[in-house]
Formats: sequence, C-alpha cells, structure tokens
Amino acid sequence: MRLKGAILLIFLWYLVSAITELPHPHEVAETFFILLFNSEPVLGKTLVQHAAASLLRVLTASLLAFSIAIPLGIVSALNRTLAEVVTPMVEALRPIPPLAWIPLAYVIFAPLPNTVQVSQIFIVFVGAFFPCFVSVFDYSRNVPEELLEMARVFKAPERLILRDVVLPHSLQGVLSGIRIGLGVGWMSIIAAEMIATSGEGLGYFILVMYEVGGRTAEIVAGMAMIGVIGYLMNTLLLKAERLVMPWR
Amino acid sequence: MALTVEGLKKSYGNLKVLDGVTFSVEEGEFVCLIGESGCGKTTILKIIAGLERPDEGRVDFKGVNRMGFVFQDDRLLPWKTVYGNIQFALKAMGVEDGDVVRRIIDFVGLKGFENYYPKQLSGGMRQRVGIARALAVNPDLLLMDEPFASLDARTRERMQEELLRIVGGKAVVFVTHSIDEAVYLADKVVVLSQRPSRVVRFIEIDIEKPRDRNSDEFIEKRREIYTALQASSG
Repeated sequence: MRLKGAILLIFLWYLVSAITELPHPHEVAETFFILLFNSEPVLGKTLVQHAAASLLRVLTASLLAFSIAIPLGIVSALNRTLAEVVTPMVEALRPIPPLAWIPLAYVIFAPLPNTVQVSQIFIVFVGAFFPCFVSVFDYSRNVPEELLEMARVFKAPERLILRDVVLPHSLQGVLSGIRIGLGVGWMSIIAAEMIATSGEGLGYFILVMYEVGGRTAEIVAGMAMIGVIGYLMNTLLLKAERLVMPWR
Repeated sequence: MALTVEGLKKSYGNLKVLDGVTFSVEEGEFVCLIGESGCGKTTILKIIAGLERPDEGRVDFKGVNRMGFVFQDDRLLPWKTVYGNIQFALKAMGVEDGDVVRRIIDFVGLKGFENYYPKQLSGGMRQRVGIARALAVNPDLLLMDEPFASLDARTRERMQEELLRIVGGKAVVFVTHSIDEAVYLADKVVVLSQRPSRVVRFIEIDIEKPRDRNSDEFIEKRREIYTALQASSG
C-alpha cells in the first residue's frame, strides 16, 4: 500500500511539473543527493549542515520549553490553586501561532547582540511549550479514578500514590507532549529562519534559493529535507515511547 | 465475630440505596451478599472498606487489623508487572518484602508470570493478580466485589474452586448476583431486596466443601435462594 501511494505521488508530481514551474522529481532527487554532502555555492554549506543547524536550534529551544512545561504541567494538575492561575494564561496564549510572534520577537530582542538566535529560540520555545504543557497537564489531571480508589483501599500514603499511580500515568502525557512539541518546534524554526539572516538552517537555505532567482530544484530539495527529518524525529520518538513504556 | 454491620442507611441525593442493612460475619466465615444489579451491594462493601460513610448505622470490627479488597474490574496498575502490582499492596502498608510477594505468586498459581504486564494476561489471570494483591497484606477480612463477573463460565467455576483453597479460613464478604456462585462458595448467604436494599433472608449453607453443583442438596439451596430473591422483587 505504501509503495502504491509513493508511486501515485511521484506520478502526480510529474503531472504537475509538466504544466507548472515545479521541477521534475528526478531533478529534485539529483539536486537533493548532490547537496546532501556537497556544499551549495551561494551559502557554502551542505544540506546536512543546514539541517544540523536547524535541528540544533530546535533541540535547544525545545529542551528549554520541556524543562518548564513538564514540571509545570504536573504540578498544576495536582494543585488546584496553581491550575486556576496557570490554565487561563495558557488558554489565552496558546491559540496564537508561534509564527505570529516572529516580528515582535525580532523587535523585543533587538537590543541583544545575538537578536536572531535568541528570537529563533524564543519562537521554537513558544511552539514547543504549549502542546507539551497541555498534554502533560491533561494526563496528570485525568488519572483514572478507579486506580486512585484502589490505592486508597490499600491505604497507600500520598507519596506512594504520587510515585506509583499519578506519575506513571503522566508519563504518557510527557512522552506525547515531547513528540508533539518537537513537531511544532520543527515547523516553527523553518518559518523563523525565513525572516532574518540566519547564515544557515533549512528555512534560510530555502529562502536564499528563492531570492537568488527561484532555484526550484534546490527549494524542493530543502523542503524534502524538512520532511525527512520531521518524519525521522516522529518515528524515533514513537520507538522511544514503546521502549520507555513497555506496558502499553 | 469478625464483623458486624448494623442498620446501614445510605442515600445519594434523592436515591435511597440502603435502607437498614444488618448482618454479621463470624471469624473464618464466608458470607455472600446476593441481590439484583444496582441494589447497593457494592455500596455496602465500600462502607465496610471505609471508602464511603453511611448516613446511619455502623460497622464494627473485631480482631480485624487489615482488610483486602478484590474489585470487579481488576484495577491493576497497567505500568506495573504482576510482581509490582502485588508489591504495591505491601508498599502501601510500608513493607517491602520480596519473599512475601514471591510466596503469594506461587500460592495463587502465577509462577512464571512475575514479569508480565496486565495487558499481557487473560481476564482470569488478571483477577488472580487482584486476589494475590489483596492476600499480600495478610488480611483478616477479605472483601470481594463480584470478582468473577466478567469471566467466562468455565474460568469462573475454576476460579471459584481455587478461591476456596486460597482464602483458607479467612473471613470473607463476597458480593455476587449469581445464585450458583453463592451456593458454591458461601457458608451463609445474605439475600438483599431490590433498591433500597434491606436484608430479606439469611440462608445457611451447611453442605461440606468442595460442593457438587449437581447434588440434590445443592439444587435445593439454589431453589431456596431463588425463591427468596423472587419474593423480594415481588
């Protein structure tokens, strides 16, 4: 089935290429594999280097986001007072797409020497934070009542309930939160890189390829790289989930 | 006397569930509470376990230091293995004794399954773990809420047979709506009316265990309970 889908996609691609400026699949494939390890002359970097640069920004910002979102999600779920303060704030900010923060971020962080980097980290942070927080919060708050009742029947002290019942249940939320957060963060970095001179990164690469004269094969090769990495991250994290939670 | 339940009354809002339930459990006695679904049997167990408070009435224990509870749904922690789930009950009372856990696992026939997660087990096996967990605290009184209701008929009968061996001489309050199950297991059957629940009759079952489900005396007891239930639902 997968193979049939891929063949159909390539067929449709050729069809669209025939009537538009879209480069043919074989042209893109050629450019993609050449640029993977050979520097593209304008920016002097390979696709792998651009991807690594983007990935590094995403990982830095996401780690920062997760290290706040995960504990905050768990603690808010357990503490009603805190939840009443935190959830309205989250609900107010969450619907604003991370991309909408880009112009403001570049203005706010302008006084800093490394405005671009800080802004990009900030935007990915916004992208990764909210889905992660929501996932952790929801799971931690919805520990099955039957299991809590069971724990009470056995007169389990609060600390044991937290450690053996609540936290393991939250783990699912933490892991999906990380996976979804990274996904959104990855999309955000590409957009953030397109706004300012970043020097490297897949988003920046695509933008420059456009600016130097619509080099469509390079542009689509960059897009393909974005897709490949997004797919790999997701698959890897799903595998990790199965490893961390063998009971599922 | 291990347990005396006296005049329990309980309402949820306008819904009157218990209307003065009284019965007692002797030391080492196996008592079945039988009644139609929704008659408040589970509520009685929850009150005994201290999970709910009655509006009126009281529960007195004598020589009961610890209770074990077996739920209708297994209520195992999905992220813990068979071993971990049984150990949880011990940790809850502040003990971490691996020997006890292993002994109980042997005792209920779960040897070789220590490292299995609940989702890898059949319904019967999961209930076994639930029973093992309840036994791990070495309870003086075992409360069981329709533990075999979701099992297929054959597994259910086998579990009943094993249960009698496993609980030995412990006092048990066992909730069921199966007449056959009550006659097979109980020393005394408490027949409850429809909601709001009252005790309609006590029926002693003095047939020697293990019982033959097809013997005349077994069938006679079954008929007796059936008649009492019929009369109560009028």
